[in-house]
Amino acid sequence: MDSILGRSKGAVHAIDGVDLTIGRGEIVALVGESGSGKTTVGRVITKLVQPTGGRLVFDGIDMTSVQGFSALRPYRHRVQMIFQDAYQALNPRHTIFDAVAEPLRSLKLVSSESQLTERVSEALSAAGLNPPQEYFTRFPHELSGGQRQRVVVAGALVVKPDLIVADEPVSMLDVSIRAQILQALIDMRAKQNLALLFITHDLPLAWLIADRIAVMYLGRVVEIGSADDIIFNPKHPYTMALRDATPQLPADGRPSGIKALQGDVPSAARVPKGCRFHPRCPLALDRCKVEDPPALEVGKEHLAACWQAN
Amino acid sequence: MTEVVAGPRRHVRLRATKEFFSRLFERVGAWVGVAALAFFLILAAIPGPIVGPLETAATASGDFLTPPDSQHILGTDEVGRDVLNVVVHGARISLTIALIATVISLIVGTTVGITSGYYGGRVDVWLMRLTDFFFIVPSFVLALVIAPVFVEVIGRGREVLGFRTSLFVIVVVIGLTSWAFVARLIRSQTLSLRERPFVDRARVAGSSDLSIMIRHVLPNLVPQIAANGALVVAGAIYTETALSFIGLGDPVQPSWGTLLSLAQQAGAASAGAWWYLGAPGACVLTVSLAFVLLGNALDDTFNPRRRAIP
Amino acid sequence: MSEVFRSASGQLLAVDGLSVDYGLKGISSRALHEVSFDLQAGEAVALVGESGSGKTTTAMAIAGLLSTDARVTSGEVRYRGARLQIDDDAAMRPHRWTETAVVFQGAMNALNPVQRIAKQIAEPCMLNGMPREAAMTRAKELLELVGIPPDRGTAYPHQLSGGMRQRVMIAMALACRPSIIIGDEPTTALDVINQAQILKLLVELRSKFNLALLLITHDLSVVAETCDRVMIMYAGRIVEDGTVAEIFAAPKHPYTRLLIESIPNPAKRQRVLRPIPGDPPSLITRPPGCPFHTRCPSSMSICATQAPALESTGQRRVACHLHSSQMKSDGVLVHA
Repeated sequence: MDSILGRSKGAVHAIDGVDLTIGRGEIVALVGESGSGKTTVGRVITKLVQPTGGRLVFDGIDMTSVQGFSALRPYRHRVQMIFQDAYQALNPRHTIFDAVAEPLRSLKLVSSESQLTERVSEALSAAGLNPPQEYFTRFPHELSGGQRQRVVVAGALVVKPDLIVADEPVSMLDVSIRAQILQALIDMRAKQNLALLFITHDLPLAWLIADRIAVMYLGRVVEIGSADDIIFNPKHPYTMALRDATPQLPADGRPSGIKALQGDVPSAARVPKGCRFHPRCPLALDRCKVEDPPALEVGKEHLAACWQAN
Repeated sequence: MTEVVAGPRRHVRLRATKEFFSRLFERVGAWVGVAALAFFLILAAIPGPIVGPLETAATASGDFLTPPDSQHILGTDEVGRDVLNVVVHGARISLTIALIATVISLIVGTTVGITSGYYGGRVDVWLMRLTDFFFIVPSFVLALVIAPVFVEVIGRGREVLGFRTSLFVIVVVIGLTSWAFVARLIRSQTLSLRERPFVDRARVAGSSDLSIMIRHVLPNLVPQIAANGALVVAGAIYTETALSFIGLGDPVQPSWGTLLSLAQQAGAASAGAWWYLGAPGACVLTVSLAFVLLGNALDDTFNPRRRAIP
Repeated sequence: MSEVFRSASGQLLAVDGLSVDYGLKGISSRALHEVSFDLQAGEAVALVGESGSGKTTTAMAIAGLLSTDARVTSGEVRYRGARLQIDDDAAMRPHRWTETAVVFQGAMNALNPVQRIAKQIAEPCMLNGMPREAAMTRAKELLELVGIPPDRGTAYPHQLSGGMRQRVMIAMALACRPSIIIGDEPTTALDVINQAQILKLLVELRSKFNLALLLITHDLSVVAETCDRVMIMYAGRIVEDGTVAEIFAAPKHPYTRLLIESIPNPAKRQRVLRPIPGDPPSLITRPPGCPFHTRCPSSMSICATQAPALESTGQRRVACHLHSSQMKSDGVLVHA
């Protein structure tokens, strides 16, 4: 087990030395561009990908080396995932009922058919599909995009997990219904003390929903802190670049003017030496080209991996 | 509550099936194919009431090689048997062999294909080498090699699973040589299906590999299996005809291929006995064509790209 | 006749009462309903809407790229005063690229994977009669223009990043010096920083060549940075039209207001989710009356039965009974 994404020769580290903790009932947003490794972090946490190094600890239990579907059952019961593209995440040949009931059946969480129906109804309503009975016998292609994503949300909520990894859960949806899906997740947090890892490329959205934000660049968390700190007081130049590149609504009717960082994200196979952001960094010093900066404390529970963060 | 769910769910399947058939029969090919097949299946099912018991040289009812007339609509053969009689009885043997061989080929091919595609890695490599081996084995050579062995071991007059030995050999040979094509096809489809997010979702939901293969991958392969199954039957009928033609058939239970072989030996072509060669030949062509038409119609119906998206 | 129009104003493109129907499974449904607007030379206008709002149909109709199951049932499109035969592909061919060029969303699908990019950029020029050598030189110029080193012209599309590919698409669109660029969600598939780079490039190119830009997008925040004017579409109709500053500062249509509010905006410091209830209607589920009334918080009884007309006051247009002249004057019809 030499690598997760590459062949045994020339392994590619999709993520490299990521430290992340999520508290009970906390919403943490993982923000980054494509190729930053944010999705891989989510897949490691949901045990879809086996990490090559480091540890994954859940509620005091080391889950790093646990493998196989039966050994993972107790973990699956507590950690679920919401996928980006609901159309792809639902089997086109399964009814909505079967799709939502699947985890209950395979994790053997219910003993009777009536209990199964009850749990499925409950999850569908919690995800905002009312009345739930109306959706039981329908197929994914008969629903709208928003409804399909609610089904995926219901499929994750149905086991009453402690942690949900949500991988870009609203990026495929129309703007006007994004808030509906997010509201359903926030409601569940309030009701069941659910923790959420919210993976997104959208910094303002992360700020809106999360308690803390972690910004990833090229396989590493470069800055982590409270949502307000990351947006209003960023310390890492990449976080600043990300914020400045995000189009803003003009508060006074005048556009703020976008500032775009030059260049592209390098391939994960060719990570620059030293600080991995230095070739694009407007503030890079000679030191950044040779020495990889560690995560430095720059404020209360606010870390940034930059030599100039202080 | 259970009944409430089960009722509509059965209804949903029924509705989907109805819709499928109405779409299938929008195609002329499907109509022609099904009509031709129904005709031959009736012949195969009840040859006795239609043309009486199978005639042998001893019970032959006519003169040698008489052209079609009112008594023998398709003429007679070189021992005086009614050609219509033997062709109708031949339908039973030809169709049974083709269908059983196809079932074997589909079961083996699908199992190997799904396993290989789903697990990948070493399993895939070894299964595919095995598949390649059977892919290139010519059915004639294999039949020529194993036929004497079987006949020697079992004995010519004995029956295996209700087949006389030589027919059983043909079934086995066709089954062995045609599954590799199915396996390749199913593997390539499985390779793309296992990357679909709904497989990830099933894994996060705690489903085992076996359950993912059966409940998620297999239902999505049904179109390929059905459409190619029809083509495999067409191929099997041809192969059976060819194998019987070179003398591997059973003269006591004549199939269409055996009849063609007998006609050839009797010098039907040089004697101008077109009815003796033409009748079984036309049957082989019609049935193969019917299966090809049906296969293409099934392919068109299942293929989602040709379906209007609601 | 066209002379008269040209001299009248800087009006480049006029869409007048355009309605388009789609024939789905024998049932015809209306994708666009009486869409009218015009585009001045050098003006940047955004067409904003959700899926099924008709924004892409509008763009495709202007470029003469409607699919075969679409039918123009009324209205017309005029370019410099001359009527375009938008439902005739052959008649539109000389117009496309040279007058109106389209930048599509999925650059990977729109580019030929087995042809070098410089050659693909040169192709529209060659189709318009430019000799091969000159076309290749032009391709190099265009690459430089969109910020790709000209020697990268020998690369194949898969060797470029998503942002680079979108630049290639823009270079292709500029090849025949059009006066209108239609951007169909040109940055939707891109990351934030790439999106910013592409938007910046579009803004620069626009002022450099005095291009008129019609930007099709679902993302209002993109609009604020790039356009002068914005039109909001909902269920096949334009529901509001005004300058960017007016629309963002004081939206009149409830849909526009809710859309703006639903975008997370850290500048406002309020971490509140404001969902718009319900789903955007699809082609076959459009409600009668005002299409937004089922989701509208200010819906009145008239909204369920009568679709409001798009009425203009100065440069501003809005289609809502709350702002209609009939309502304001107590039911008396003000203008005939």
